[in-house]
Amino acid sequence: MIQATGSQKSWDDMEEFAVELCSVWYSPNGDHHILKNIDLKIKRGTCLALIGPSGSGKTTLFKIITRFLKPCSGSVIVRGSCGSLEKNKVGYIPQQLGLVRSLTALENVLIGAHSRIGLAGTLLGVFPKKEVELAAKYLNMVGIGHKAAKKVYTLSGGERQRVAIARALMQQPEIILADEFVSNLDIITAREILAEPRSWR
Amino acid sequence: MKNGLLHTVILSGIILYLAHSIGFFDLDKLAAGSKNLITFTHDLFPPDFSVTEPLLYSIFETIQMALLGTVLGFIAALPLGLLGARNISGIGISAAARLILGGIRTIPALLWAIIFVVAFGLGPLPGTLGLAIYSVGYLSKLYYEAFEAVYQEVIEAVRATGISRLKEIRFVVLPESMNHILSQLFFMFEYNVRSSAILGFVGAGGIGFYMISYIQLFQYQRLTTAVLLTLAVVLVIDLASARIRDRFLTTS
Repeated sequence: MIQATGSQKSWDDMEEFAVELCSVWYSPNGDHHILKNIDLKIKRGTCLALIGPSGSGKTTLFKIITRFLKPCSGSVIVRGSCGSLEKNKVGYIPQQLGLVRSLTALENVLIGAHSRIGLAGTLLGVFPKKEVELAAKYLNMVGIGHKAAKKVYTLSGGERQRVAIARALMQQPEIILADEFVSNLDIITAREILAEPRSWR
Repeated sequence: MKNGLLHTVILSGIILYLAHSIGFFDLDKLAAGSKNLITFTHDLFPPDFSVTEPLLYSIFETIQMALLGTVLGFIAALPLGLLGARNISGIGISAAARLILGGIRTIPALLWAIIFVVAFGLGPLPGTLGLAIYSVGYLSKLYYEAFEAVYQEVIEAVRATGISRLKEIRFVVLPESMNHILSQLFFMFEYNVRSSAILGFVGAGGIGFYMISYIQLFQYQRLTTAVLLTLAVVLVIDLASARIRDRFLTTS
């Protein structure tokens, strides 16, 4: 059982939890369970690191929270600041980042703003000036503003990681899920990036 | 090892038998044919350049048909390719789309041209339509394969954010496969230039009409001019499109 709760608030104050998993079981084929009776409560405004050996089900748990996978049993609740949470308020950074390699860093970050553009903007691929400025701001914030116009495939591993973070921030999410997102980086870059989540808020 | 030798002998035997049944070892026939071939080659030269001007017009028509046919095919192939991609449209819709596209591909461009000549009469219009529908069949197949090759994780990363299918296609699927989309489009255009030269054989416009007329009228020296012009144009277009392709495509 995993719990991540602050100590100062009472357990009854349920609205304080952004993510709540209640006795979640998951198995891809019906017999071997990857997740067994998981209870997880994540308090709003906290940082939580899930640590475990490979194959222990960390990614599976993420996919349950993002609703990619349906649990065999148990309940999953993801809450926003006002009641239930729309999907676009969850920023997800997958293990391999999932960036569009043939687009520039800025264009990748702009994809994070997809929920705020209309049909015409979608078809023409044009984003409002406001969003472009915001995207540039986030790229500056993660320290690669000067690489905004570079195609993603020309960027280094650490730079790609930062683009993925900026894209997640661009969604203006209430929850960011980052899956082993420093696993393929050298230790120095990894420590730099891991020190950052506090500043995202 | 012994088995390998046996297989080689059996396979060679089959190939030789097939060649024999077609007439490859009929020496009399071969000798007569070779003689005809030499006479025919002799008749082709020197080329008669007096017909260059009308031929240039018709070769322009050929390029026009190829270009229009490719563009029309491309416009239809993009959405059909999306429908045929299993990771975008799901198993059911993609299976239906693939069945239809497979059916279209079964009919060669020349046969499409004949069908449209019957429907619309002689001229470049049926030829263009024939090329267009043939291009749809092929480009769509190449496209749904390109769309399915898009990294699943890239799609999952944005699907987790609740993106709509249209936005997912516009901002993720199309940019990710743009290299394939463009290079296959150029390939299709080159291919269509070549095959549109032949569509004139059935009266569907372009330089092929002159070629078949020269053959039927035994004006072989004029035929040489037509073939040389076609060759020159195809070479120029191949070179140009290779150039454009290199400029457009990013290596990744």
